[in-house]
Amino acid sequence: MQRLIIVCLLVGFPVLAKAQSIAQKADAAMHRVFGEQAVLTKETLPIDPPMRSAVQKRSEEEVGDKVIVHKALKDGKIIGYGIVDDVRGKAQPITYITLFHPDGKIADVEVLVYREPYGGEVAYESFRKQFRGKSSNSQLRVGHDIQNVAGATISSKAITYGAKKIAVLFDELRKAGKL
Amino acid sequence: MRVSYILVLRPLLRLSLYSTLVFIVPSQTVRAQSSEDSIPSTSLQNFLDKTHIGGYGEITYKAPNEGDVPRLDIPRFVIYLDHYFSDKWAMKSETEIEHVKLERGEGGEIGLEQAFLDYHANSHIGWRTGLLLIPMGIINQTHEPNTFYSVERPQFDEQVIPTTWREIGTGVYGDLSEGLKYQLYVTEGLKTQEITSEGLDGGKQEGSAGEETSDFMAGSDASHPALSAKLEVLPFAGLRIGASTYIEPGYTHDISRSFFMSVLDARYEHGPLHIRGEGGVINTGDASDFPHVPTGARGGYVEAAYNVMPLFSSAESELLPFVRVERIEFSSRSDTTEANFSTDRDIDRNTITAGLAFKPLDNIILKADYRVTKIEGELDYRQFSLGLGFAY
Repeated sequence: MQRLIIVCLLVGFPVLAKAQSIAQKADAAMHRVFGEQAVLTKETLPIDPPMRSAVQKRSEEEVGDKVIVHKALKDGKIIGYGIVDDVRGKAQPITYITLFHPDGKIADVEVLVYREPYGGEVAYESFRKQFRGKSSNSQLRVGHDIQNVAGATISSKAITYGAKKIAVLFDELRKAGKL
Repeated sequence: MRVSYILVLRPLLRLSLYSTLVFIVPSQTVRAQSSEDSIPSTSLQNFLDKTHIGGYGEITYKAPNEGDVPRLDIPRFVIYLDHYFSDKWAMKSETEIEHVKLERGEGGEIGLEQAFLDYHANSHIGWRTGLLLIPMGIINQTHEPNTFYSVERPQFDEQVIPTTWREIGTGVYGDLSEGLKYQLYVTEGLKTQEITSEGLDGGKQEGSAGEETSDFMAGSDASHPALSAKLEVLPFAGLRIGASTYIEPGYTHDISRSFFMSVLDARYEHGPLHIRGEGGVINTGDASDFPHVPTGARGGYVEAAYNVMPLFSSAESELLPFVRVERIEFSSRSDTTEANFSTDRDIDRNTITAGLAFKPLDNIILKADYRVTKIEGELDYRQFSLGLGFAY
């Protein structure tokens, strides 16, 4: 009986752990929000020092010197954008994507990889829906316009700070005519 | 009933160690299959990226009223050492020094508070084996000092739930569906006959035989395993409701009466308002045939805190006045006489704690509170406490 259980566990766990890459998960999120028919492309854009400092000033968060922007096209027209980013949870990075409508409003925020055993509730619809329709000009602060998941404050704050940073970056890229 | 419990639980517990050993080897296979999610640890930087060192601690001052000596203490200083082998495999540990030091066997305590291997397959199922925190109430699994506002943990979480309650075992956890979480573990059981009207603390095994230290005699008593489970519902972002159960089949007599414990908890947060509560019952089963063991216990608390900082400034820091009302009852044996030690009557404790917590940063907390405990027929116990806590 014990051997049978062990065999089941050994076979069962690798099957359950069917791996999907972060890129595949990002594409799946783009399709979910902007439609299965959308054509997806990617573009790497540089973030120059003035833009970096502008983002830092507005969001109080640091960004790197380049960003990969995912684009969803329909009939040759851009209908949505996505930016993948990591924020630090309690101990490990949380990989998430912020999706935007062309007008800069957040279409959705989706957690792509959550690595810690506790606190994965930030992936829930009830938390994520609060970001929809907000933009770089929104407050995006836990306890104000975003309610944290009860009992998961650290990851709730991490995702909220991250979404604010990416929304500001997206706005700066738009203003600079890069999108 | 008892036979069926033992038939199922004991092999499962035995399996925990067995399967831990077997699982470590095939982790290589899993890695190969999901290479995207894991990076082999070939360099020091890579190792450090995958390793998390952290911890928490608290420094306290407690001044009781009745002429007792005021005390300064570092009740806990804990070091986390976690290693993330991949996005799915992790080892998590907490090593604890209690009450500053242990010298020649006197003073505080040094021990593992958690040490387990975790396989986080996906959001629906994870598998965990090792020294685990029993999923009971709020504080036992989330006990960093910046997660609660009083200097000391609630009385309920010391006397009824013996925090930090950890035992060696194995089990699964995950989301049944979005907003519905479960945990289910089989662990070594409590030594239920060691329970007193002061609480369950003496009954914990914590993976250790206690005084027996030879290789042959070391380790906890795995002959009476227990099942613990928790279900949590999160209907919306600010609300979390939990229901926990712990069942340990009777083993002290031929007549089987299980030790049973059940706890409900809730946390509600809406902007600056934070409300939480826990409540539960215990039935000590067979162990209540021992004269010093209460037949059961029940109790709970409700706590409300309000972040008043936004009234004064736009800073991220939080200033939280709070108040907590608690009641705990330990029931005596119905046939006890006055000769029977301390449980010859029911013991009810009513406690009110009021205080102020200041969080300059999320991970740092300064606390001050005043606690009054009323026990029928005894003088009120009053205590003023100050605390400084951190987690990183």
